[in-house]
Amino acid sequence: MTLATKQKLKKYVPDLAFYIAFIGLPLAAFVLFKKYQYEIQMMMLNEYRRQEFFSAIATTFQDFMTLTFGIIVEALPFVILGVLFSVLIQVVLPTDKLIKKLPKNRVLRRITVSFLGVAMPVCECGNIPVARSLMIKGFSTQEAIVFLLAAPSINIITFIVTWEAFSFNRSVAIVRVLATLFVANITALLVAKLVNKDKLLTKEFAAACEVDSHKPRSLSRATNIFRNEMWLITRLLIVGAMIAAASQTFIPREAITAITDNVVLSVLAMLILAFVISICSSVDAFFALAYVNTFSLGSILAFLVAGPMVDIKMIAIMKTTFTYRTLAVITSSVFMLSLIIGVIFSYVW
Amino acid sequence: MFGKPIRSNAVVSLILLGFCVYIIQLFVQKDINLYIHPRYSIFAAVMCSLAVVILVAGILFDLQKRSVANSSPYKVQFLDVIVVIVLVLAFILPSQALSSKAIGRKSLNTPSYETKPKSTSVSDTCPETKPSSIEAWVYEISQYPINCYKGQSIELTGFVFEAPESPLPNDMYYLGRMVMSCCVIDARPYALPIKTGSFEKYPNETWLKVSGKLQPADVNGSIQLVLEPDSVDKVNNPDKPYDYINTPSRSNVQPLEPIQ
Repeated sequence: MTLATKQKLKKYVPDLAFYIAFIGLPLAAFVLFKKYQYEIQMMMLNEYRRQEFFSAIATTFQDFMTLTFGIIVEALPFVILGVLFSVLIQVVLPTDKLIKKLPKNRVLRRITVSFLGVAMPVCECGNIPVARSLMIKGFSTQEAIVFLLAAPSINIITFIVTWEAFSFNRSVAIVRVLATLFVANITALLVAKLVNKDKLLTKEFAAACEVDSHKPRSLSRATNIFRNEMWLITRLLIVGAMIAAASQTFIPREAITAITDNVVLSVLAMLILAFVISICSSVDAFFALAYVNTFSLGSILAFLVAGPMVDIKMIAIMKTTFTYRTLAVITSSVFMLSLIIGVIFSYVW
Repeated sequence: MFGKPIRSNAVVSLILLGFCVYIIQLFVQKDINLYIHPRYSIFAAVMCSLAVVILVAGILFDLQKRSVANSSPYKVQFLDVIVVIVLVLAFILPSQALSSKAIGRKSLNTPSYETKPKSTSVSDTCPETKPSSIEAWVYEISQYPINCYKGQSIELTGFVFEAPESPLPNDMYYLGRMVMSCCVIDARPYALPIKTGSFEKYPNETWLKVSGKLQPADVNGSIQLVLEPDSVDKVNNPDKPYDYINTPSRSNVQPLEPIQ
């Protein structure tokens, strides 16, 4: 293998591996084959069977697209809102000065950053452009991660919805906020410990962070930032939506939520469900409510804590900013911590 | 095509405009609630209109500055092709509700007595009101003792379907609706078991309006509330196939009837 091909491979393999592994193409193909094995054999022989087979494929495809459009139509408006915030932060507001006004004391500063999300009524996908612009304006990567992970769950809308949905046990809403703050901060610490400073961010984004500083505040620059950020997030949102839709089309939900008496397994089931289903943080409480009769409150708490932080759609979008290494640390840390919290609260409640 | 620099800014703006126009079009044609909960419809339309204004302004600025020609080179990637394909499909494919095959893949919500509620306790006292939608019925029935809702009259509109994972005896079928809490990806079927009685048994996916009384009956060895119909009417497929979960204020409720 020549050096050039090696370099080429190095450049393309991670991306390809990411998409293929995540789309779970092999899995989908296997499930499809198993499901339609008989039809595939019969199709060769029988005209009627052949038609039936193709109409089944057509319906499956239509459902897959309906689900994909569903996520896009739901998330895109929030992305637009998030990008608008990000334009505000980069062009309109005196963000540099505001960031300098944050407390110098490390602990106080971290606490302030943790609660920044309270006033940010944006779902998780809209928070990525906001976090990006905060980093461009001087946030450290750690602070950005705390903000990114905590904001969707602790913002006031999510809190009210959770409070309403779990009216029979309102402590869920409060514990959700506390658990989210805990997981977000520990995860940021772990990222700082486990990932080299210069390998935290994708090269493109690290470069963008350095270029910024004092560019003119103009309308045309604002529209430029708006378009570029929109494009970056939208492309990956679409891939994330397709992967999430595919996993819903091909993996039956009962396979995940098959009722189990084992505490750890039931928390795990809700975590996997949160990862696969990729719904918005502002309403996931209602969705979780439907599982109250079959799952322990602890596993539902794990769903509510981990869901807004990492899911298929979010990982695709976070790819714009963080390296695979950072993403791997974030994902596994959030999973482990939520699992522990879920198991503990299964016994407490 | 791949790796070739194109004049990117205008093209990117046009693709993004395409997605915004698609969502605005769904809103105008009132199809948007096939995909998302009504509480987001206006928000989505407003946000997309804003984006359209900003993107068009961006194109105008570029034209004015003649910066289109020297916009930075952009390499087309595989991902970009997918994005364009999805955009084209969005405009070509008709807006549809999920098929019954998709429904079969989702777990059914129906009042359950077999699995003891783990995190909510069944109340000892009866409520003073009764719910009006299928999803509320499903939720409420498992919250209270059987005697509370026994004999209550109830009217439901929904479609017939099978649930292989929780089968019913031969003289019963499920009547239910898909219920959305956020967007179509979280839609789940909610259903009540109906006794066939003296009425015809309709094939799956038939939309019916059933009214009758809730009575306890033996379902696979456990006593459950089952709807015994007084009338069963076939109705047209509704324009709005989904039900939507709202804030659980008990607004849409009616008083309970005295039990004879």
